[in-house]
Amino acid sequence: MAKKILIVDDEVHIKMLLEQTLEELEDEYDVELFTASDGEEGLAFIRGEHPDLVFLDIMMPKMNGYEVCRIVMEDEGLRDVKIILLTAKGQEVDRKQGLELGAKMYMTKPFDPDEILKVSKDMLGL
Amino acid sequence: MRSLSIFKKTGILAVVLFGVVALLTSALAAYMLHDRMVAEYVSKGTAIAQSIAGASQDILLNRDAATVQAMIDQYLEIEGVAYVFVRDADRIVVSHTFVPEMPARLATLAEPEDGVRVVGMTVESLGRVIDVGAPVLAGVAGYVHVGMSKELIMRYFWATVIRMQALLFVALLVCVGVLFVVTRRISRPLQQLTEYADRLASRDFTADIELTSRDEVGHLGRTMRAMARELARLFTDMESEVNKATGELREHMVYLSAIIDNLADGLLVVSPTGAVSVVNPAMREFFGLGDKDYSGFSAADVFPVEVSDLARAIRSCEGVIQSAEIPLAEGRIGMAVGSSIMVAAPVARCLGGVVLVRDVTREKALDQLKTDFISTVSHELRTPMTSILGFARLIGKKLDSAVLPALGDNPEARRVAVQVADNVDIIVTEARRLTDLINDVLDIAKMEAGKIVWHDRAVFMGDVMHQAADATRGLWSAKGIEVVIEMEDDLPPVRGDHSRLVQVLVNLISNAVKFAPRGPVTCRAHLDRADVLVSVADHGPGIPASAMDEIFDKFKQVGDTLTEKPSGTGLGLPICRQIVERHGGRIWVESEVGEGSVFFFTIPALVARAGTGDIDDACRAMLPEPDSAMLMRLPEERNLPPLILVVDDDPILGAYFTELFEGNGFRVMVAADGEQAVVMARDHMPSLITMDLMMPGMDGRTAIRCLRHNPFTRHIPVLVLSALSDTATPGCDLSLTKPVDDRRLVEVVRALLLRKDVRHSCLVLGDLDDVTVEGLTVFCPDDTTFCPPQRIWSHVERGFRGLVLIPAELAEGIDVDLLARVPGVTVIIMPARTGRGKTI
Repeated sequence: MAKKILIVDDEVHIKMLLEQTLEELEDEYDVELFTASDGEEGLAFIRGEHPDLVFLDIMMPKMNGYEVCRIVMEDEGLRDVKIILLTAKGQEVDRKQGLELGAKMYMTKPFDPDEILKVSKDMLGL
Repeated sequence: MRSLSIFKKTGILAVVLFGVVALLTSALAAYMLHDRMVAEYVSKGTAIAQSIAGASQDILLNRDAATVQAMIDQYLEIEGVAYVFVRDADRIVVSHTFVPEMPARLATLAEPEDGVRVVGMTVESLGRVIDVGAPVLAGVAGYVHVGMSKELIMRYFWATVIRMQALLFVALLVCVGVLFVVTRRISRPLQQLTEYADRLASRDFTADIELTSRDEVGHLGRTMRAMARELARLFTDMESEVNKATGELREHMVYLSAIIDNLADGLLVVSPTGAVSVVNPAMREFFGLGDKDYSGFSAADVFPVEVSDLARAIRSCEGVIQSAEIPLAEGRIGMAVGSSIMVAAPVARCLGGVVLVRDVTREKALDQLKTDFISTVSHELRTPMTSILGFARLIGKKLDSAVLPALGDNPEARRVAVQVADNVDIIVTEARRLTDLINDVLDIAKMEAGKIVWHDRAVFMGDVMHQAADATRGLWSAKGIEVVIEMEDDLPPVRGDHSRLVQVLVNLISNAVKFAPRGPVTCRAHLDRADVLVSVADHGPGIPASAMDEIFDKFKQVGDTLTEKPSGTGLGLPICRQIVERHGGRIWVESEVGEGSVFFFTIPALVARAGTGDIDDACRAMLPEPDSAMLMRLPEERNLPPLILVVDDDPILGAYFTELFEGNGFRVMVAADGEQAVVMARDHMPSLITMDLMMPGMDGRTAIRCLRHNPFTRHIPVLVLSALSDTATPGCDLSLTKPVDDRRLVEVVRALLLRKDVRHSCLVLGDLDDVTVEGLTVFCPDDTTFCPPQRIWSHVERGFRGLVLIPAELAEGIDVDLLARVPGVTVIIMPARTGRGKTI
């Protein structure tokens, strides 16, 4: 069964960057990429499709990343979804908050595409 | 009437004096008159007696009584003569002038024998008389007696006295009259002066007096007038002085109350009983009080509970200055500061308290704005940077992986493609620089805004240096420069934020590597008095003396920025300075152009170095021997709850803490003094020590120094529980002031135990020197704990989850399989080390 990666970011360019970076995985492995443009859309996708890995931006309209992360982690059925928080905020408080909510990782923008690839492979066990 | 009283006094005096003089004068005159008249009467009587005696010799001898009678009758006519009688030699009265007969007293009168004899006597019907007796013919013919009436003399005497007295009385009357007139003339000006003085006494300085006389009274008047003028002047001066002072006082009061009224801060003064005494307009506005006068009201009735609580805390002058954030009217926020009002002189007493309330809504908003700004800038800059950097790298990658192979052998196209790839690399490099700059700018902005959360704990500089060296490995290994770490043995830890100190060293090492054409870069750390001194030396171009201070300023780099392309952000050193200064240290550089530079920084050491005399002999005696037979004595702690060592000299408190901690599931041991504590800590390795400071023998501070000095007890958290709240105790992890709330104490103990085990995500067995550090920082980017092999299970029991790194030579003594089965624990066996290389 194909592994599903969801990218949730309101910034079109960041979404594109992540998509294009992760396309490499799609070519090599059995991986499917999905995107969402805000928190609500992302949450709806997670609930419907149960992706394996989610790149979740924190500052987003409608519902922020923390909120999405909290709801997902509180849901017994979704707890195994691995969430990587992406943020431009580098403050330690944010980092702590994200990890306390159950996110697996916290990545600060700007990030290195290679790092994204490496982390994704680790998380998906590829 | 004053004048009459003077007159009366002088009058009485005059009358008395006059009377005495008159009486003495008249008495003297009367006495002299009486004397003279007696003498005259005696001589007159003598003359008469002798004349009769002369003329009557014959007659007597002849016994012619009738003739004698006729003769003596003649003499009776003479004034003053009272009687005349003649006796013969036989003392028989021949004739006499008595009618009808001679008094018996005279009949017995003795006769004078020789010459005239004068005798005073009183005779009935004649009164007092002077009898002058004279013999006739020596008594042969008989005797003649002439009686001179003394009554007559007395009559003259009294008449004289009465006349004289009458005259003197008249004279007295005249005198008194004159006296009256004179006194009146003297007393009138006196009375005027009196009236004048009366008016002066009633402070009527307009009064004046007419002075014409040149006598004493006039002089007195003039003196008085001068005095009155002087008085008036003094009085006026004084009045104007008083008026001036009052005016100044009033002005000062107005000034003060104007200041109070115009204070932008709200001011509330409460009396020691809690009554409101002063409320300024700003305070009224802050709490929407209106114009009502609240003097005397209880502060609790007028102000919200936050303010009245503050007022209560300070009004009796027992507390210290207190402050609190309080909500104001209209949703504003105030910062209230309360202090007591004490007067020192003349008697120290408490006048109540002052509460000042400052509207900090704006400051709060600004503060929030600053936070928001940092956060926004960080977001707004980083997001596009992500796209730039990310896409540039993707382009580069795709050029390599897809475009270049597709170009085949077309040399022109390949050349262009390679150029594009180079250009993309430039974009990546520059984007990275920009990212660094953004990070640095935000870092320094956060530090300056106080938005950094510092995680202070005991930090070993050796860890920091190794971690920094490793973090910069990419830089120096690419350039072929070696980084050497030299560290003094037994270097005490410092208190600080581990990752920030790593940041300082990373900055210094990367600077050194960046500027130096050749290696090595040497990092040294040693104890310099109370500080740990760290230096990073390079063989770079050096820094001119003129720039040595500047380089720590923001955006300053050595060299001409127009001709020499700066590399780096120019913010690395300013950030270093911020971090070092925040830790209470100092950063500077020593350099020689062409030779290289040495950057130094100091961080205050947590405990004094061993063997420098700072540790008591008692303490040194307890230190473990250099070979660590110590390790063998460590008891097995598996499956046991954490052990707490309670150090307190008070057995009651010791028992109390034992009960409290045991009740909360800990094991407890009690030590009664510092020495015992150090020994017990060494022998039993407690998980935590609670320490009293004031103890007999070795006190708490020394005990902490000993504990920190011993490598095996150094890591044990020490919680100081002391009645002294004066200064922080060096070397302790936390201090609480007695009396301690039970719940809080247990919470703090749990937090200390937890912090130690949970925050450290890496556990390395053995000491730093036993472990090859190579690769360590890759596994353990943050917190690393070193622990003796025997301690591993107690760490795990107490909830340690994370990486456990075990050097291969220690692995045999540990049940690695069991350890690896603990959920959340990952075991990594490190290859046997090949040498004790500190160089990495």
